[in-house]
Amino acid sequence: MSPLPPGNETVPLDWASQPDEDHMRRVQAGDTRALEYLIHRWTPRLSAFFYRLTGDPHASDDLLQESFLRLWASRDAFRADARFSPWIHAIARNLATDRARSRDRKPLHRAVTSSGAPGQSTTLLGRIADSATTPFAAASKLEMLARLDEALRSVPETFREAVVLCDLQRLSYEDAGEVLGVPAKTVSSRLARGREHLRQALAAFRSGPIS
Amino acid sequence: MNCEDAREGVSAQLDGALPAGEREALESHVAGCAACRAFRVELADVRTLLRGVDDLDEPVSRAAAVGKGVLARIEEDPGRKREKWMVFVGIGVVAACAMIVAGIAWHYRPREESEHGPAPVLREPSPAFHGHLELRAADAATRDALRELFRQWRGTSSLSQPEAGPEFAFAADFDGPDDPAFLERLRAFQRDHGLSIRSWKFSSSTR
Repeated sequence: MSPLPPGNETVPLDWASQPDEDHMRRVQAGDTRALEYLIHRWTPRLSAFFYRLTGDPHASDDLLQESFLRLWASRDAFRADARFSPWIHAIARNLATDRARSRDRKPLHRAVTSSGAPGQSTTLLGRIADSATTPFAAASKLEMLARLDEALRSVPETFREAVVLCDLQRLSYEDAGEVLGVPAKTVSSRLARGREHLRQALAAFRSGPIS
Repeated sequence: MNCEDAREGVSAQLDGALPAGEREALESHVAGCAACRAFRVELADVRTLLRGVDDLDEPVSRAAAVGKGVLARIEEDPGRKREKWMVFVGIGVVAACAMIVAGIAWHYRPREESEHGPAPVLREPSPAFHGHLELRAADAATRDALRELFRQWRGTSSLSQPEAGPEFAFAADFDGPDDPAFLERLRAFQRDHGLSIRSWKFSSSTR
């Protein structure tokens, strides 16, 4: 992630070293440059979050825009002592939950089979393949992630949320609890169950052929 | 501690989140349980795998496209348009209030009672004209009307009113700019109140 949005020369250089909360306070004051900066800073992370939660790479563009629009619309609700990461994750998670309720989720294999011009992939797995240094490394990475994705899809949603928030988004138990509206102890329990599901699913892959 | 409790404890332990009071019990169980020892190794692998996959570089162009889309929709937002409209209305209201205040201030500016003659204090009278007038009238109304007329004099004036007798008297010495219009009003007064005027002595000089 580069520190400054390209083409936005008006952003002060010291913004890169400032915490998200400072930028959010600028957003609260109506500064759309700060909003643009947060979008630049958080798009990669939220994109991965949506993909892991929904399994649909095509849904994430729409959800990304909706997340930041909701951030803007509810900017006054961001408390002075609030932390940005759990707050934006809660927005994103609510959107993903609403989306899951309103339509059937797309099958995960779309992400694997989607293709584009070399170096221009838009799916998670495609980007990983693009980043690999050799075709073998790319195939290996893709294989591993395809299995992980499939294993994640087999984890019940309640536990998968905990895994995505804590292991993939690196939130603390407390922050994940804030996103999910449960105590940290509950997050710990759900995370343990989610990891156990994954362990079993990955062990099954290990003993069987790659589909 | 049973295996189920231990496996939940192992997960928290990998994150460094196991409460100190539970560590000893967990280690004690794991030391005596081969299945849980194997579980801990496998779960650590799962955790390592998970934490190694989110290190992705999102194309910068994607963030830019998302930002562009968001800002465009914010601009289109009726609420934001309403905010802008309200700003214009606010500016209009402030401007209107300022004009009203300015109008009131203009209306109540310091001045003489009459709209026709500027206040003597605001004009430095020219010493070019000196006049003297003595009136004896048959009624108080005529005397008071002349007294009122002298309020229109743009220079300085010294008015006196002799003691009331059978006639109503009034005298004025007045200095200021040569004002033919005022002198014409004096002459008109003399004509209009001729029946009530017992005597009218007027003299003037200019320098």
